[in-house]
Amino acid sequence: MMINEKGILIAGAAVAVLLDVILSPNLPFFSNTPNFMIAYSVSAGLLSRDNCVYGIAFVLGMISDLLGYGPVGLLSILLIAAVAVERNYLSGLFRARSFSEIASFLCVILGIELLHAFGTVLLMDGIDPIDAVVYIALPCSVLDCVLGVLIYLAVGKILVNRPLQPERRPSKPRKL
Amino acid sequence: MRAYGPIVVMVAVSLIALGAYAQEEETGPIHTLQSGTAAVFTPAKYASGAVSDAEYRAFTALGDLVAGDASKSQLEEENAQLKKEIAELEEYRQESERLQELLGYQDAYDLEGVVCTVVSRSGESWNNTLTISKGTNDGVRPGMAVVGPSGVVGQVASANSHTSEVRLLQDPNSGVAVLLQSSRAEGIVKGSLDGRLYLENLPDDAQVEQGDVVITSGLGGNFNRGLIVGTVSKVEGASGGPTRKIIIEPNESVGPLQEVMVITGMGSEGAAAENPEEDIEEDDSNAEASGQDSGIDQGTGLDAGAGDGTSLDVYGEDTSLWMEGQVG
Repeated sequence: MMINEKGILIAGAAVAVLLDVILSPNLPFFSNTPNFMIAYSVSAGLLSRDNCVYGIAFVLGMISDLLGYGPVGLLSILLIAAVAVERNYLSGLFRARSFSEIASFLCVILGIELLHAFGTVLLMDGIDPIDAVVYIALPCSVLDCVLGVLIYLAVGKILVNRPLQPERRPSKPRKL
Repeated sequence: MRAYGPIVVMVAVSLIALGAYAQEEETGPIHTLQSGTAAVFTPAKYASGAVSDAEYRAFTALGDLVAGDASKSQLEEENAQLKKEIAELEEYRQESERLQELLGYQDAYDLEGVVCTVVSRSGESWNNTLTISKGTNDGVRPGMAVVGPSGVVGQVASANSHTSEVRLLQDPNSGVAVLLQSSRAEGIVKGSLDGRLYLENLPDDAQVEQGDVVITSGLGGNFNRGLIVGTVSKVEGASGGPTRKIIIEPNESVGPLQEVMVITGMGSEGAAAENPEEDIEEDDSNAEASGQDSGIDQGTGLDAGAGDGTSLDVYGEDTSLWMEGQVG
């Protein structure tokens, strides 16, 4: 069976949606819940050069917005922007092995959460900006970063170990 | 350039959706799409509820497993003590039932409603919502008040044929018109991102004290008058000052909720009556005279009456008020 990178990424996105609906409400952290769709989009943006990652970011952002009661379209724009930033500045360097790499991962997620918070404050009445940052954006960033690193490592392993693309494995020097 | 085409289209679609969301009413197409998406994911939400139950059972089992011999003997002692307490509580329960019968509680409140199971909780940090197991097929409509066994929980935000989304009082977009039972001062209880309830828009000269009971005032038309919301737990700042902050402790804790009732009708002013005792006696005598049943099951305190949706006109078209995040 042909398994290409695009197929794995799309299947992973579907799993992320299901996990977000099923598992996320059962993982509360200071009354916040992790967002599997943000974590997956950011991870996929780092892992793949395939253009389908933009589509995945758009669709996941839309689904996340549609599942809540907040502004629809805001998260999809932010996730597309995040993928673009990752491709230009982080992709190829990131291995989630050192503090600076994980810090840059956190920065991307923090940026998404903060901009999402400010966008929500602007578009919805009665939300205090400081509350939005303190009670939602910061704890959610921590949750999504932890989740994102785990997803990055898991999906990265699957992509590297694909049976039909052995050329991606690092080749060992042969002894003659 | 061609590679950027789809990205530009996706950003444009997102911006259009964002603009439409900001401009439209609660009944607009984007909001309707949000309700529809919730309906599509209903089976997954049932699975989420099952995961939640499994998680609870797993933690309980884990606690039992790690209990050592010393703690086992302690548990046995506690078990014996609990058995004794259960016997005592059973006496109190029966006494309470008899007293409730005497007071005619159910006739006083005269509630009609649809009992629903809590399917799942919100998986999104920005919203404080519940998914419940009844929808428009059972007579549930957006805007209806939702109560737990001891007080108001929230209000139906959207309803599909088989499930509904309940926006909890703690949600930052919720607002319920209330009055203080003691002083009759009116205000609005609002939710917030920190999960607390705040009492706002009170008259400057209104006296508020810790322990004051807060009930729905009925203004706005969605919440029936006289439903208990909670009690004043903290008052910060002086009366009349702009910085006065009043924190409300909700009567109903949302965490352990398994069943709720969507109110479809209420025949009295409940806790809002000027003299509740007189009101209860009056209602009691009326009920006796007419020989009617109020619709509340004595055992559970809840009843699945009015499931045919015939008593929904009470709310009329006023639901949009609350749905806009204003007064309930």
